[in-house]
Amino acid sequence: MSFLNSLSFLGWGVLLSVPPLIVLLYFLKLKRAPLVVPSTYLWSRAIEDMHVNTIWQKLRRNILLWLQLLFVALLILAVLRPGNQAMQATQERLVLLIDQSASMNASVGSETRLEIAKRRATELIDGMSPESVAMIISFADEARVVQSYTNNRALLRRKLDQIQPTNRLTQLDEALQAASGLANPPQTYEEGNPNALGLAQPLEARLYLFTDGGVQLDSEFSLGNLKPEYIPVGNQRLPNNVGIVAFAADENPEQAGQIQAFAQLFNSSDDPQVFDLELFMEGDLLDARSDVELAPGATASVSFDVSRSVEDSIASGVLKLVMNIKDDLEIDNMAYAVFNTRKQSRILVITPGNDALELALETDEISEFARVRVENAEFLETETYRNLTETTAVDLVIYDRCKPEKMPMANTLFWGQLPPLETWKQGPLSSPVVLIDADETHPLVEWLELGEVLVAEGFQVTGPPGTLNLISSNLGSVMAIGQRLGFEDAVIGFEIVTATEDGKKLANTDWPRHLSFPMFIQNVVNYLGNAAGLNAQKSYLPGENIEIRTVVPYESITVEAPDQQRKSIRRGRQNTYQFTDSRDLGIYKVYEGEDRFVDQQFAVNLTSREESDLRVPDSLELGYEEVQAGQALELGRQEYWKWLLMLSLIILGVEWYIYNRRIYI
Amino acid sequence: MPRTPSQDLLSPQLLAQLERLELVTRKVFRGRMKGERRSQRKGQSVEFADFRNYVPGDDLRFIDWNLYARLDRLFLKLFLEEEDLHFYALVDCSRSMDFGEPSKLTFAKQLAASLGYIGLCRADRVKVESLASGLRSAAPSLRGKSSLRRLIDHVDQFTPGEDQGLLEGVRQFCLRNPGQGILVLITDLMDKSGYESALRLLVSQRIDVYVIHVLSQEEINPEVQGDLRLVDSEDQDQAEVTISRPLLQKYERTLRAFVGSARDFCAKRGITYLQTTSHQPIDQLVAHYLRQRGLVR
Repeated sequence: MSFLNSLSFLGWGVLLSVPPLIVLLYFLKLKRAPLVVPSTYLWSRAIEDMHVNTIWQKLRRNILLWLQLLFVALLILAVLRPGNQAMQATQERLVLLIDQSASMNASVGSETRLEIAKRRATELIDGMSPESVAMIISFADEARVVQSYTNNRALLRRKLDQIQPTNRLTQLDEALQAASGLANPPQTYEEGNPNALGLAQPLEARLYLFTDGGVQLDSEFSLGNLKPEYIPVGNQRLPNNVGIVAFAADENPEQAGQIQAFAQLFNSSDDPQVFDLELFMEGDLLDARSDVELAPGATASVSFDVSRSVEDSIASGVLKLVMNIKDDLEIDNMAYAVFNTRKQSRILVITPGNDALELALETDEISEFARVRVENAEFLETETYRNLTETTAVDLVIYDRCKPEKMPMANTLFWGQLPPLETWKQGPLSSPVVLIDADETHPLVEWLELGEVLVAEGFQVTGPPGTLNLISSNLGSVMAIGQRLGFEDAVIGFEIVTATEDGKKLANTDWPRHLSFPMFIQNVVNYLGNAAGLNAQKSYLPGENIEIRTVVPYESITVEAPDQQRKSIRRGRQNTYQFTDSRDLGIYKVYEGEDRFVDQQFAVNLTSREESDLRVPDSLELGYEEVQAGQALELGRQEYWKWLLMLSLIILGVEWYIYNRRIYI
Repeated sequence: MPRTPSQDLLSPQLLAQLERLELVTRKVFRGRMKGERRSQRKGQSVEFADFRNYVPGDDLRFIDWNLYARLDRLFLKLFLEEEDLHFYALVDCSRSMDFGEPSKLTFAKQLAASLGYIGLCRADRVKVESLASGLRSAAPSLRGKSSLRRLIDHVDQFTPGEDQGLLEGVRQFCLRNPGQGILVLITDLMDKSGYESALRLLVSQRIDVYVIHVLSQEEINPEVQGDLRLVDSEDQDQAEVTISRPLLQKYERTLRAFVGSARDFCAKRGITYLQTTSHQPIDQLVAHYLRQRGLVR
């Protein structure tokens, strides 16, 4: 037999004040009316036998009082919730894993799934034996130990109550690692090591997983001493949800002048769904699709073509896709896509004369987004050059077969020449150079086919630590890119045009004749020239780590979340800013430096098929084990309070009868 | 016409009825004075009663010389004796007697006066006392019909609450009145210390004891309800009761047992016991019940 406290201090105070109150009221009530009689002689003899035992006599005389006290005592006992542990009651350890991912926001009737999970977990805590301890871990894409092992039920309940819903994905690994801490201590054993005896003993624990499924496990996890119980949340009824699982917008590569928005929609309900789609640009309705029909479990793609005729207005802006449907999960019925202002890139080219390069910089695409200024080597000595390069007035300086005395405050591309820094080294001039491969993952050299490019002579390039090798050759790296105080320096170890001693120009490579050359120049303008990279900004998932780049390396930038909260971020390595606080869905605004105007925007969308899929699985695979949905909560305690309550009601009935019939026992 | 105490206690009709009665005693008592009562003793009246043999020492004046002449033997002529009777009425004046409609005390006073009047009519010596008489001036010893007013005046002075307890009252009475006669004790016997020793004391005297046990209606059939704190009128003793049917039944049984034990107690000791209620008419009581009990005839 054990007891559970289910009342607060205040509740106990009120309850315990009832018995004294009854006694008090009883004494007040027993102000008997005095009546003078000839003699109490006969009366006394009539009630004489009651005087045999005074206490017994009082007890009998106050039978109503005793019944009332008994009634209250039974109530108090019932509130104490006496019970027997139906299962073994010895020192159980419980680990409660509460899913707080986005899909737990789904409503089931009047409650959300998270509220149901919390309620059921509370029931479990209430049913704990006093010797048991419990631990609460909440998890979405990352886990948090809300409360470590304790047997303090009030604390557990309070901490449980503090778990808030998130918009994040579901990732179980971290939560399981945290849960298995005590259950599966690291076992390292050395033969003959006396310290091995001090290793922690594994403590068996019950793992209660309150989730609606959609759980992702990256690693193979062994549960070890954890005894898992999967408690599905939200399987009371079939879900009804349609969600946007992908949304992106970009320029139509086939048809310049058009912006294309793609959306992928997923129906996780068991009924076909019909709804309207609306596309907004900065709050104005741009396009709509009515009566989009989606079969049960089906995925459909929708695309919108937005004419470039409104390009001026959409050069920078926010696209919002809204699905007009009333379903269980609201947050996946909306998605954003962001276009950032395409910046004019300022490029300074210093060359003794390079027709191929100058020609490549004059394409329509480049001239639209970049202002190119070409000067010869004498320009390096002028005051104008110093003004330009010391104030970040240019984004990129291309040095063709020349080098400055001092590195400029801009990205650089050195062609056939090393930067004036000791960290850059060159190998001996060799011939021929056979280009082998380009690092296709780097935006500077992606999509380049260099296999047929011939190079007469060149040298190997090695840069400071952290330098990336972009083009490999028989000599080694002939193109590399390295970091310098928030700027990047690219160095190419061969020239395009060589000047002979008599001043005649001689082609060193046939690269300009290949299609890859203008593409490379385009990449240089886009990447090193900061020509705003992509027009359309990538959309992120909630909780994702977001890397923000700026044109100019500011000490810090400010990010404004959708809820207007601002956060300042200091510059990290490689001229990037790491934003980790992408909890909310919506548009985040970036203010660079001290700017008062928005410089960039990015969107955080819940475009996840796992979270939009509200179907609750019957079993979960945890590592090597498959866990069936259980109803373990019923196996907890056998409680007696109902019987006590019934007994107290009977007592109340007896009291009522005695009071009315004036029975004198 | 001003009310007289006699009208309060005894109505003329009752007086007329009482005049025809006389008090009777089963025991032989020597009266102090000649009375109207024919004694069971042989005496010196004119009425012949019997003869008996002469024994030396007898009064020679009563020898029947005619018979001596005829039979040559000495016989004594016996005559009936007429003598008076001592009648005592002892009224319990405790506070508990002040209950009932009419009150038990009024009833007791009426009864004492009635019996006293019977005695006065027969030239008996009548003395009506209350149990508290020891605390006051002694009661007058009355004789003759003309003493009715004094008797009633005296009885009328009895007030409730001047009691000193049944036993003490009886003891005082016995000390004051060592003589023989008839004693009518009118009481409710509600004495916490018990009535037994008082009655035993009376039995030890040479008197013919009658106990008239008066109960009021509210004692026989109490009409009470609810949670009560009963206060004893005499000693302020309190008893908290919650009136219920079973309790009333219990009370009834207790009362029956009380009356029964008193009757048994008296019967065993030769005391004539009569239980009555305060609302019983006096004439009926005297003419029927007391006559049946042999107190009057």
